[in-house]
Amino acid sequence: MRRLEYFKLQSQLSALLDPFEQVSFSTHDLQTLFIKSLNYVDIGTLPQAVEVSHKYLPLQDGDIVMTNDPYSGGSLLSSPTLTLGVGNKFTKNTVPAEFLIASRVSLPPKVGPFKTIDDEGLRIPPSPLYHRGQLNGALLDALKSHPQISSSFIEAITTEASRLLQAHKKLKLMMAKSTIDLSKNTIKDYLLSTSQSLTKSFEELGEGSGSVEIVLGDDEFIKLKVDHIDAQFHFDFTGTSIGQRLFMTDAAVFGAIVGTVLSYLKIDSPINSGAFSLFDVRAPKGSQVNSGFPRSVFLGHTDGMLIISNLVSRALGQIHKRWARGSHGTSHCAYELTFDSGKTLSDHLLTGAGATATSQQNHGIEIVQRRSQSDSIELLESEFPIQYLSYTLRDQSAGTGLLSGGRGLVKSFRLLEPAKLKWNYICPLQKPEGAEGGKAALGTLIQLTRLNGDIEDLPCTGELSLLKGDSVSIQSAGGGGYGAKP
Amino acid sequence: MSWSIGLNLGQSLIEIAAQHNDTLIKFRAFTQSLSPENALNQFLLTHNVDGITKVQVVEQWPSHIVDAQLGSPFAFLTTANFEGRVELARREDWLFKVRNPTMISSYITSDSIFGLSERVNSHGHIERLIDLNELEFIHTKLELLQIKTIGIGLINSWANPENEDRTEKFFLEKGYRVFKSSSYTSVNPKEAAGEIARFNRAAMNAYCDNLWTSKAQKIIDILAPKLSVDATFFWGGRPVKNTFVENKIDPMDCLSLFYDHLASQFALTSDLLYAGVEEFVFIPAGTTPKSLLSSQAGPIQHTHRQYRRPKIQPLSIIGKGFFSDFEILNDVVNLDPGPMCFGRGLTPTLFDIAVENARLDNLNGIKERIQARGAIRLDEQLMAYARNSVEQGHFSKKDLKEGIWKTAIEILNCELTSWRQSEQLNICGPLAQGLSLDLGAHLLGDDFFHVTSLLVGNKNAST
Repeated sequence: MRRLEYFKLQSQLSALLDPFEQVSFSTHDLQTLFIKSLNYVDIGTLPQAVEVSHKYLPLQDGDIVMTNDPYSGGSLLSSPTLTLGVGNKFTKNTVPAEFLIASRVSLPPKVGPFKTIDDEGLRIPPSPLYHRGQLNGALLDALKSHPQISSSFIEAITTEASRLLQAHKKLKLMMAKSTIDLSKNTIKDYLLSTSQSLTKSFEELGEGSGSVEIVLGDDEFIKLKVDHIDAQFHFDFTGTSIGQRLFMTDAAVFGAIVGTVLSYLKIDSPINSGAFSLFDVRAPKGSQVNSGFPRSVFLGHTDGMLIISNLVSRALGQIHKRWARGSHGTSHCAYELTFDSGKTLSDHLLTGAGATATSQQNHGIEIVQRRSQSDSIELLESEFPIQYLSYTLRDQSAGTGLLSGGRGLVKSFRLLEPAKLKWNYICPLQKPEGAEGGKAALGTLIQLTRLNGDIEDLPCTGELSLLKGDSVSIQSAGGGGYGAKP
Repeated sequence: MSWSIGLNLGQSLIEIAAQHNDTLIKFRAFTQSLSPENALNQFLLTHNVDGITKVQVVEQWPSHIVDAQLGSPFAFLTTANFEGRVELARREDWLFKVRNPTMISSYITSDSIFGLSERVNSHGHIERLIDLNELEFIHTKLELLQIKTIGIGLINSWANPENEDRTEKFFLEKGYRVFKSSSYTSVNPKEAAGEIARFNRAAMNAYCDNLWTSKAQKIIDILAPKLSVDATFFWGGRPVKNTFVENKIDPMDCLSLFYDHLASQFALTSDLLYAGVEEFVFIPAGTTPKSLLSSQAGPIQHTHRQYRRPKIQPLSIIGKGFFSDFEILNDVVNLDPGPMCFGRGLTPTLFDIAVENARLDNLNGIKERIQARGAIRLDEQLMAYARNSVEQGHFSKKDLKEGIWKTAIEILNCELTSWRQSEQLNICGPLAQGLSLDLGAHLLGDDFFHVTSLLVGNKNAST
């Protein structure tokens, strides 16, 4: 009954890491045993953050290393990742980490038409926050005094660090009482069992190849060829452009690919190195799916994940009908309002999900982000000089078909004080496509209505000064339909 | 001649502890075939109960009605252009899952959601007053839909409830049952703003009202003739006389009665695991009350003591998961038809494994239901799984049953370790005795301790 032991290990890691929302658990030799994620970016980048942190600052028991740098395994600059070392065995007066727990906190990002990563905020390379359970006060003081670091960022990392240290205690207690089996053999077999179970599941979905492309603008396009052969997935982005606005790290793209493929399964799959071993991704260096410093990744690590997920789904749909899925809405409609009083409201809107042969009408719960929109109108109105005119499902925004896609959302508001509006979203030339004869959905729309009644459709990105009485309507995309209506 | 009654009304179970002078009587019955009021009536007749001086009731019906979607159609009135919010704020049962979400059936259809042309701003100023003609039109539609219960949630009603009050008055006069969100605002303005939880409370009150009120009223009506003149009757912490409407008790007032009782009695300084027949619940020691309760319908404004449900539950299904054919799955069975050992269930559960591992001996109201044919069917089912298992190994029935139980305990232990706040873990409930040694937990009382604690002067039953 060895397989029951693997189920137990998976369940125990899930229980241990229950307090965290975005977390990974790895061995010191970088085998990822467990990931819990809120979005696809986490799947690929958390293991990379662990790898880079441990490579440059070899962690010992009780050490915590912090980074927010997307080029060191981060996602966005507003989302710091903390990696904790856990170890038990003394070696030459140190206790090297045998296991590494990485946890990420997502804070509201800066929004804007950024040219480089440094326009998005302060990049923090892997830095020692705790050494053997003791806080590095100098690092914290340096961060506190930096003008680009907010008090909420400081609070987030100190709170997260203390949660990690509590998890550290609990894990060590479990290891001391031998209530959790983290032996080398069990780990090896657990990962092998994951890949074997996944291989069997994917065999049912058929072998073959698919080829897709999406045009995002002038000289900006992503090409993808997918092969599913001999229980392996090969994703090849050869021919993809260097990019104009949309840039992603290879780790983030890997996460979007793995997350999309695993979402097809009927049973929740663990996300670990065993699962990763089934995926081979070729992303040409310097292309927009494998960008390097100093490219800005804000758009890529938000809207870009939807684009990649849609591409993967379309390509897989060419391999077998069972993979076919309408495209999800293609943008989070990220925007930011900075009022004259200095307050900043950062917001986004979820989209409709694409329909499949068995699932439809998933409104405003976007697959990639894995969170429904549940912000409070009343709290926003009490905190900011703004009045909401509507917040509801967007009429006729879903792609129709035998099964309809999910509808997008509409959020419109009127300013009660002047403010500067910044927004940034991706607008590909294609609307969210249907699949197998299903119809396309409506794309994203941001509309400005001036006090004098003039209405203007805004472009994909920009900055504008707004006056008291101006109204903005943000309308997110729907999901593509599935199947042709008889 | 005085009687004190403690009553626990579970989802499919009724537990009674009755004290008469120095005699303590305990009773447990499953309510699939016998309704709770009939089971109670039988108990009262059997023991010639009369002259009751105190009744204390705790229950789990509202959460069951919400979770199992047993409620009645209702209408929801909200500010125009915000109607979609009611559909959007649904439970997030797909959060952290890898596979795609499937459509969750909403508690209300979009044709029962009405937008009103009214507006209150965040400072409480009424920018647009309620239009009674509009309400009249809605009333006409509700008559056609045969809906008699309404939830009202208007934006910024926390700051000024006047529009909600007018709407409520209009529909009360027409004979509707009405639940308005401004009734649930807390004293702190910052906590008060935040419409989703308030609206959900109004909506779920409207949803549960019919069924809950009729079930609960039947209990009161059975007990009423047996009460002495000066009897005290508490439903949770609230005194009740005659009807719930008179006493202004709503279904959502009772959302966490049972867990609040457990917390206030047994989890002041030590963590508690309640090991019930229907569920396991963990209550951390001495935590401050929370004002938002997570439910299948979304967050609900409701002050309660914190509690959590572990993944490992007594009625968890044993079946094929990602790794093994014998995993303890997230799905559970209902007590109708119940676990296989009750003779009618078709799916192996952890409860069955517990019985086979001698963890459920001699429980009042449970041992009588366990049938030999249930054990035979369990063996057959587990052996069928083993034959088809990918592991292709030879498993004896004993190995399987012991292995599954051990796995369940180890996972449960891990969950509890992750959540623990205190040194000591207390355990109480019908299945507590069977689990206490496995978990190294301190056993509180017998299998009725959680019910006998409802009685006055009986809080310290021995272990």
